[in-house]
Amino acid sequence: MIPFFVVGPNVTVVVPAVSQSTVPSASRLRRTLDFALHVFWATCEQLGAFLIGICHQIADIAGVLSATIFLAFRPQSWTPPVRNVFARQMLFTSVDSIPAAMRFAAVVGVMGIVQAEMWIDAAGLSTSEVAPILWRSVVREIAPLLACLVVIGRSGIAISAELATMHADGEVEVLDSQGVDPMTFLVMPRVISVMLSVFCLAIIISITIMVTGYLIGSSVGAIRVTWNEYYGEISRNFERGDLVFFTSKTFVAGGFAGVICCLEGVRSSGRLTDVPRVASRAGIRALTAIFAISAILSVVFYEKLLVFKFG
Amino acid sequence: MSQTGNTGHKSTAQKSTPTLEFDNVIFSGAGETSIGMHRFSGSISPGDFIQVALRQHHDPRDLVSAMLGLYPTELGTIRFMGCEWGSCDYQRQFMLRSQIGRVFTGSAWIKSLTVWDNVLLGMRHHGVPESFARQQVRKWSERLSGPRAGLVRQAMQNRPGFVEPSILQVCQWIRAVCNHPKLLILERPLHYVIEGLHEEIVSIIEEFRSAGTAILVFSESDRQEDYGFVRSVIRWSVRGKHLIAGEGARQ
Repeated sequence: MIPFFVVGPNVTVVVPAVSQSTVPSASRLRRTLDFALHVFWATCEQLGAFLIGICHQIADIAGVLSATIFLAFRPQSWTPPVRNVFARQMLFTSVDSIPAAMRFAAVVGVMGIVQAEMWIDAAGLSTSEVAPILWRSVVREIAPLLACLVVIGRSGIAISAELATMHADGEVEVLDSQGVDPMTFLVMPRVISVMLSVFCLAIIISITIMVTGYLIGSSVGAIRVTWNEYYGEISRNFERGDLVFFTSKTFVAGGFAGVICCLEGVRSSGRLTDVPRVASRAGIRALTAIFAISAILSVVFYEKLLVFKFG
Repeated sequence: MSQTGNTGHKSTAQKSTPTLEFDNVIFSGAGETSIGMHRFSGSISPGDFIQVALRQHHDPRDLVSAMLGLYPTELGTIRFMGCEWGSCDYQRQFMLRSQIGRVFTGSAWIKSLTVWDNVLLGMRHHGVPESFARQQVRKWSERLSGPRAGLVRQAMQNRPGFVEPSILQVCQWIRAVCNHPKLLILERPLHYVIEGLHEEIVSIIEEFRSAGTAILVFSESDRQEDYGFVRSVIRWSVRGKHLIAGEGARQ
């Protein structure tokens, strides 16, 4: 039977018959489409929530970092107890880290010389051509990153664990009750000391890498120039841009690492059992942040500001 | 003067600006045994001595922190020296809190500092000259330690984890009173304190009251922490989980 509708006295619209078999398939198609749309929107929602979460985190970190810098430049923030906390943190984060940083740097220096030797052999380059590349890669990338790794591994995780424990023990409340600002007393000196420590350790690491590289390289015959010539080559290749890049990278990465570790600590749930989890999460987040910052700063400096002109 | 919204009671003695005022406050503590406030109104004036009778399971810590503006209230306002915690800037809040002495129940110390540094921390941070601060701590430790003065002095050089609770409690008292606070909030203040010191503590409380310090004590009235001998005590109570003002009024 052909179904039809009578629209008017002389007009009849014939509707094609829909077979029994096509009805379920159309409905299935619609359901599949609905499901696909649902999955699409759910994915969009999740992705949006994830991105908004990241934006919130970055905003929080930037907010705390700017507050820290503001407090650090305000003389009345540096009360005797705050100076004491800062000094102890500098001792722990910077001075006590020097042996570990030098050990890592010495190993990296040896690896660098081995690589340089391979390039010299493979590409037929001379030491004077490879040395600047090695020096620049050390100053621009390796030393700041290695300093951050040492500081996060040694102090950043300890800071977050300490602050999480203080929070769980009610020590932050004790400070607050006495009118001692936890931001000024706990966060600011730690973040500033992490920033300064990364900068200082990066200098020590750079020097250690180059000195170790020279000692190992000259002892195995890979470097055939005197120390004065080697040092002269390095200093000739040292540009003002290197200093700007090195300083900004170490301070920004150090600031972010310090703030992330402090934030993770003070934002903990307040249970002692959560402290190990908070510490490991702080370490991972800080490492992720410094790698991202290193990459972003490198891109900005190389591509936009043209500090280094190749060719 | 104590004015209580719940009962409508009003004292006859009129004084200057209340030290601490509550206006229709709703607050719930985080813990199961925390004390809260439900549409609580009341005030504590200079020289007042208010005792809140607790039961053994009651934990006043969250409530006191809310009174100090550390936790936000769900409704209503809390004012200290006429300044509402929620509306004044952080700097002023910290300055105001430095004028409040508190004896904590439970954890009361920064464990990475010695007891001596802990006691001096607040004063050092707020710019009190070091020599004056040290002098005040010595003076109060002489008075509050009694026959155990040497022991207390020696214990102050250690970190809190290595000091026995009765001495730590005395050190809490020293920290609370040495900066001449305008408000003293004492949570189970005689817990662990040896009985021989009770009389001295009561006389210190009387001195502070005469000097215009308002005192709010949370303690268990049926135990040793009974301040029935302190003149004109205003008693507040806890009903269920909420603070009730003015019951019993002045005695």
